[in-house]
Amino acid sequence: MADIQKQFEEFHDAIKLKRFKENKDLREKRDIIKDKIKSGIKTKFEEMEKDVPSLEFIDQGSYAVDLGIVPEDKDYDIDEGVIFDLYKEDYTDNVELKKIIKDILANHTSTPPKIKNPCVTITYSLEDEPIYHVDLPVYIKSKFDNELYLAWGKEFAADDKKYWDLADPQGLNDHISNSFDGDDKKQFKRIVRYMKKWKDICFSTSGSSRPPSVGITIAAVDLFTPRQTYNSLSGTYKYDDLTALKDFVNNSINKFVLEWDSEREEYLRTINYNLPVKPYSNVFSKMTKVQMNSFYQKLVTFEDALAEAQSKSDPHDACTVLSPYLGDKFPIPESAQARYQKVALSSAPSSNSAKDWGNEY
Amino acid sequence: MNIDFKKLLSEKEYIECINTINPYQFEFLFNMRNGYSIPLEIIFSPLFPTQLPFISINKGQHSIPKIPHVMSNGLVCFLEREGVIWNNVPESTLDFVFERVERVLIADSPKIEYHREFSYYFGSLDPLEHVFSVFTPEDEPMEISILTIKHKPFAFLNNNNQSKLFLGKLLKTNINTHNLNKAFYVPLDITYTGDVPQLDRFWSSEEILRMIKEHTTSDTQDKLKEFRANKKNYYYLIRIPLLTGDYVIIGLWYKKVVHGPSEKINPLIDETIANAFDITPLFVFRDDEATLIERASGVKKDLNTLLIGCGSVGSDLLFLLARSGIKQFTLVDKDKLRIENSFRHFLGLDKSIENKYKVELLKNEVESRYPNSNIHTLEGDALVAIENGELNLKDYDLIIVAIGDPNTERKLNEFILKTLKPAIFTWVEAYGVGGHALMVNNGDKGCYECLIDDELSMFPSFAGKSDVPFIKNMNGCTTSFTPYGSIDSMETAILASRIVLRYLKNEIIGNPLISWKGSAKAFEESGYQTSERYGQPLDMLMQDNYEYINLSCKMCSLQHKEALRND
Repeated sequence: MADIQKQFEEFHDAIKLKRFKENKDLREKRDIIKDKIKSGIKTKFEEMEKDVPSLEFIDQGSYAVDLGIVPEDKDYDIDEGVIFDLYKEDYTDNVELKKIIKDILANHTSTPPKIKNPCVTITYSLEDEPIYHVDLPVYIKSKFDNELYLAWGKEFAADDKKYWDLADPQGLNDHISNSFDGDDKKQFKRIVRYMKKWKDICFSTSGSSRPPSVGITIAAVDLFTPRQTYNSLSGTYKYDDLTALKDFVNNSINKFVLEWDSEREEYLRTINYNLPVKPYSNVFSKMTKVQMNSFYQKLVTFEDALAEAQSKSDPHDACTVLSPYLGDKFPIPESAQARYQKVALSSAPSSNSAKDWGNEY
Repeated sequence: MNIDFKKLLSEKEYIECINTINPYQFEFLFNMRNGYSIPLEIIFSPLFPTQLPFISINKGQHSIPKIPHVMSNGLVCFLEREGVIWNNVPESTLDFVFERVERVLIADSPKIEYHREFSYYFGSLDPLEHVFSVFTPEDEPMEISILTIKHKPFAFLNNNNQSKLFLGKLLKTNINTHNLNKAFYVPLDITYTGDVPQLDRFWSSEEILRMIKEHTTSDTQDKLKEFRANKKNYYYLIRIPLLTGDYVIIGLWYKKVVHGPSEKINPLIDETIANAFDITPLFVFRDDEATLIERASGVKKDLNTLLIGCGSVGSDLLFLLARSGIKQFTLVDKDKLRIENSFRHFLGLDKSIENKYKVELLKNEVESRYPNSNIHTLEGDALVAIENGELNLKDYDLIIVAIGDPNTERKLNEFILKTLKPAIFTWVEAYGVGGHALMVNNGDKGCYECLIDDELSMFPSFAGKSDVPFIKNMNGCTTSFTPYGSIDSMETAILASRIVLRYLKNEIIGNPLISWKGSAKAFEESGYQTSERYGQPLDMLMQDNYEYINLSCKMCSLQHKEALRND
């Protein structure tokens, strides 16, 4: 097995998205929005002659758990939960608060905010190209428990498509952040980022055909195991991302089950992976069975490639095998041929080469 | 010195921080393609690039890794096999060298690759002694014997007389009991997954202790305890199951170097005294039956072979087949080995002085060279022996006819067809124009008779039709001989032995005729003409030919049916 850990780590540096604290621009944008919402809510509620509710914000998504990658389409994605200190029992129309936020930010960007099922989306554009967007999920409390409820639904959706959905954004963040420690945690983050990059490369860009990142992340918390191998040259143990990645892909494949699809009259591989926090729903539930099946096939192909890379003894060969799955940011060291411009070397039969100790098998 | 080695090195992008020790010796950092940089030392030969430089890991700056092809002093053995021609432009030679060095240092080949070449790597150990073994390995540990010469191990053998006799025959000497020592055979029970020892890195006594402990059942370990003794030298034969699924057999020689209190021990399992021994690995050349035959060609079954005709073709054929592992022969020939034709006979001139029958001389020679062979002889004419019941063709698994007399062979063909026993006819033509081999009784169509047409021409013949027999006379009729040389008979014997081995491997379909042809120069200079068939290209002649088959041949079509009915 070729040692391509250096290539993996270079790749990671190239795809890794810096956290808020390292990305001043994004942080400022987030803070501006937070301030705008705070003052907007104050004005709105005062206009309505209601008590101004106190607000809390919670960093969510890959930024919060430091698992982001530089997006292929340059459309950065920030998730910032808005928690209203209000009770759902007082808000039968759960989209009302989302509408308020939409109104507050209506003129904030050239592209108007949009209410989506789980959040309000603010899109920042540069020359009509979205450069990043901020997703704002809206939460509310209950008079009867200490849970949070997500405002689910679109502005003009039917009533049964709008509801308060039990959620635990902080619990999810903690579950992911506390899963590993130290250098193991670093490898965990690398593996999740490789998988996200693989997803970007191997799935069409949008829609539910793509497995959600949160699904991959949640699965990795359970199915990733830190891997090191002994490096006989340096005499030390080193993290081995290739093996860790292959093991994780293999474990993920094993989570799929065969399910008969009576409409299509064929067996499909499907996956059911529940959120580790409330509401404990299947993180892949948005995908159809056919999409899950295609997800499965893609994982199998990826695993084959990882196994083939493991079988190569030359780093150039190993990286070349992985390149189609991880994209052009994955470095390929030059070939032995290119570096050691061997001009003429041949095996010449000689009487010496016939020297044979004999195989004593 | 014509080459500026420092300049040569500094031009390579993969080399940096060059430090000159002397004009031939440098230290530097080698940047490998996996991103690892390793400090190396190079010593050029004044004959570079004809001679390659020595490259070692700079042990002052880097630990010496325990990886294949790196010696414990750090020397990188980057040119593993001989028979490689490298570019002799210095710049390219250096690239070649560093490509190989990088391959050694970064190639993390799966262990199974090293197991596959266990013997090769084990053979590179230094120090290493070489020993024979006629011991046939079994699955149980057992006490065996070793023939030693001045305590130096020479050959492992079974603890029985048969094995002693066999070794004695092999070495052409009597094995004296006082030269025999006790040894112990240990087949490991569990597949060995560890490293293959090589170069100057043999297992330490601790490593051997651990290996034995980890790869044997408690049963085996109990048996090892029974082998405790108080001796100066201990000899072991170890069978190691490898990752490849094969076994390798190695030997160990423990020589006591520290004199402690006398006690009965077995250094293979007793930890406390392990350091009191010098351990020498033994490379085992196995000469037990199973190995010999496997190495030769894979002829495993006890094939009972009848060889009729022990002249030059027959004698060469006999030795080719014996070397392939066929052990049981009955030789039929009526002649004594005579001086005048001994030059092309396998046995040679010195044997002809004895004025003995060829079959007797051949029996002695074969049995002395291959002690496990078993040769019966019949001095006399094959046809007569068959007629009077002395020779029953049905007793044999394979019949080879190498008489070179078409009339006798026609008759033998008739007898053979009646038995359904597979047979091979082979003969050489005069003046070295060629030779032939024909399979018979491997299917119902085609036999020796098919070769002969109504005008008594032989189908395969390279000699054109001639009224004069192709015989050269030297001083009258009694010393007449067919003029062909030793190489021609040997060539024909090789052709026939290939058919025999192909037949044994079930690779022959039907009854093919195969020929080789040589030069017709001498033949034509003597006034003869070659046949039309001689004009065919050699590769075509050497392919299986079925064109000779005569579908209305009275012999094979009738006799075969008859034989089937009687069988």
